[in-house]
Amino acid sequence: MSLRWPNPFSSQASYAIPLATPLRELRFVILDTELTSLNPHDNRLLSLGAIAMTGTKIHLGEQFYRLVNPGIPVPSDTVVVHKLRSNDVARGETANEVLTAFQKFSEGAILVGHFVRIDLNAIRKELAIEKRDFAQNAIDTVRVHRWIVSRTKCAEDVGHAHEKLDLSSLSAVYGLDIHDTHHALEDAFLTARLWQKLLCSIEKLGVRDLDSLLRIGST
Amino acid sequence: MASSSHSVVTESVISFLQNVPPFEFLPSAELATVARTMSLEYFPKDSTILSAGNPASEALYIVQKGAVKLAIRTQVGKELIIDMRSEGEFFGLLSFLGRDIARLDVTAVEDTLCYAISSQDMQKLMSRHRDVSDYLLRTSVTRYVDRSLNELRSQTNLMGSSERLLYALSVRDVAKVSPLLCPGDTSIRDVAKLMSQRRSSSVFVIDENKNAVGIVTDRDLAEKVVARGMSPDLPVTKLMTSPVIAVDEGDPVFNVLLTMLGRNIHHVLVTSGGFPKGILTSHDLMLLQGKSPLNVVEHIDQQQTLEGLANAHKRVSDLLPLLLREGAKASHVTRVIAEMNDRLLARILNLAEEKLGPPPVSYCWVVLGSEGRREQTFKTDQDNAIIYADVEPTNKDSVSAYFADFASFIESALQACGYPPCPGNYMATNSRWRQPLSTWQGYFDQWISGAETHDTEDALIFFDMRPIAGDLSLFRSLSAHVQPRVKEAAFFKSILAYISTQHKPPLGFFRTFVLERSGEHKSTLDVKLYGTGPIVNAARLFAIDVGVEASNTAERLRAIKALAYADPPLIDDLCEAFEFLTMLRIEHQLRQVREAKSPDNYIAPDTLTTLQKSLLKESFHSIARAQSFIEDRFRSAVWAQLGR
Repeated sequence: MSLRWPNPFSSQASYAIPLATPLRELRFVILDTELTSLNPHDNRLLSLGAIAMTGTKIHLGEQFYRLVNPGIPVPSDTVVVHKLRSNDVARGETANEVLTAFQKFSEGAILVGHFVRIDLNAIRKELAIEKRDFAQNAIDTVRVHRWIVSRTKCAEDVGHAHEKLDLSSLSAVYGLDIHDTHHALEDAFLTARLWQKLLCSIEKLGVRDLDSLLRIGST
Repeated sequence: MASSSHSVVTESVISFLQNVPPFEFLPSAELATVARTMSLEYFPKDSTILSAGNPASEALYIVQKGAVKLAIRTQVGKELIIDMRSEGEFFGLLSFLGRDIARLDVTAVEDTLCYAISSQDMQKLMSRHRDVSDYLLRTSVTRYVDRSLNELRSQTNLMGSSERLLYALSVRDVAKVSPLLCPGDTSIRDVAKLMSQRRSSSVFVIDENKNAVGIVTDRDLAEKVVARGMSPDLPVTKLMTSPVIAVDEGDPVFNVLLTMLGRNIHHVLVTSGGFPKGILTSHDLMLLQGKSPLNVVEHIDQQQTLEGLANAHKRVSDLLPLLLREGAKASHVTRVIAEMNDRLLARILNLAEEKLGPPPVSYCWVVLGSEGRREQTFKTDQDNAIIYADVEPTNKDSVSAYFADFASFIESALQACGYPPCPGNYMATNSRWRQPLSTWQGYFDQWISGAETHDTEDALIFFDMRPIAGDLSLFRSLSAHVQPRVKEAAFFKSILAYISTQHKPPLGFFRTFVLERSGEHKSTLDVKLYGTGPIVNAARLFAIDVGVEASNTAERLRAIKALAYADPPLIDDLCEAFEFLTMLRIEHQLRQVREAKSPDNYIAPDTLTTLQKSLLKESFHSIARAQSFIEDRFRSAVWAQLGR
């Protein structure tokens, strides 16, 4: 049995990953974006970083990093965070070009991100401008983490419900060396390392295949 | 696709690799290429990364953070940890070079991140960079698979391994002779039959001039014939791989290893003068290392001159640090030392006979004390004697003169090989210890019956006598004379017991150090006097008491245990204590030898680790228990006279 796993970039073509595919054989693309602001209504994409994984294995050679020229000035209050100034992104490509390349990079993979809804929302808006469609299914590491906490009665290892859930804080909880970079590729890489840990944890809790992963983590 | 310039992520991989040999030898452009072929894998604590018997590793792993243990499982299911790998160290290489199955269990001992480079990418890298493959082989081949095989083997066979000797071997030392050959027009079917009949994994195809033109391995049969349906009626030339990679029988083994690795092949043809002579497989190379001390032994046996022997013997002292570093047990190390010394001595005795002519009567060369017990460490001198056949009074002087020359030849030869004369003059050059059988019998009778502690203490080393060469029946006659007498000699045994319990282990060692109180060795512990010595004495006493003939302490204890003479746990504990204390001595002496000091037995307690201290304490307790057992069993009126 297999699920029609929608290609996030097209309502037309979809491809199928069998639901019974074991976690260890699933291909993931872990992504992160930098945006002009956190306002979901008018923010624009500035950069997209991603790295590929198979199961818990991070493919160091399969990296994706592109700068996007948003066509609007970058608000100065966010430059402090992501260090991307207007003239830095001026040499960037259009969102359409970057997302076309990303579509190719992420083909056949399950998207994973930290609070991934924010990234997907930004991508979807950019695609909407070009009248392109976007389906927003992806795995959110925060959801998976919450599920683990809810399943682990004795949750002292992974903190408790009122903890901070941003990428740096959660990475620290999982014992990763943190680096607060706000660089889309580096954050995607850190998310990938967090994903390694989460995968091992959910595997121990009985999550073995795509079917059960989607139940606990898809957004 | 991925960005073409180095991303921050790639940079972090490169900067890690720049501190990891052999990758640090690579130019940075190559490092970037390598980094992009790698993956980063995560293994939670206690997860299994590779398991023995399962498919081989598909990658070389470099530990980025955390640590893994490499272990093998023995036939009885006991886990033997071969090695640990931590940050910057690698594992998996020989597994994928072997390509069939993994030979070790690799388990994460903490949460571990590893960079992994696939076997294909690694093969490519090694063929491009000789220094990388050299380094990996030097470290892995010796440290990894062979060491594990050795570890297994060492449970029955006392020989260890040494990387340096591995490199000294040439192909002819290890290759199998008579490779399977067949003409090119043989059908694949017949070749398969031939291989199966001869239980061979490969066959070389030869042309009419007997030159090898190709090779067929069982893998070819599986992959091309069975899996891809190639017709078995075709001639074997359709199946074979050519050209054949050949090495000369005189080539060093290490070069062959590099050839196999560089070309990713597992079989090479061994030629002599260009003609097929043998075959060498990667498996042979993996099995090879345990042989190397044997190779030293052979090397000693081949020497024709005293200078040659002295040089050959230097290789023995090179061997010891390697044995220790590779984790050999103390008893193995001392056995290897004894084996080497015995061979050396046997060869010197041959040289002496060649020089002085055949002996006028048969003789037996015996060694005494620690050499007799096969328990020598670095600190070793000559303790030996000659027993020769009884002679008519008319020949007495000429026979005595021959053996005087003989003994003096041996003494100087041994000295040339690095064995100083015995300070107590327990040597065959001393006429007292160069006597006919009947005189020796008299000596022992005297020691046994009229014992005084002073004499007995001096005589102890003669009760650890072991024959080396010559007419062994002389030794057996002496032993047959002594054994029944000493077994019944209650008085003598009581004296021995007194001596064995004279040096009490310093049980207060860890609270108030009981150390040498003055002199050169102030604040140290004499680990021989208080440690190994009392165990040697106890084992000897027990052996005499029950009539066990072995001269080695561990063998004596094992034989005694089988006889249910004393509490079996006590005997086991003594064995372990002896092993541990011997190891302490050897390690201590090795350190001294490295620092160009002359080896002794004085250990400073503050140099010991916590674990060593607690083992030392346990050892002392075992000795104390043995001593109270001895006191209960052998105490007699004579002890009061001796002062206790």
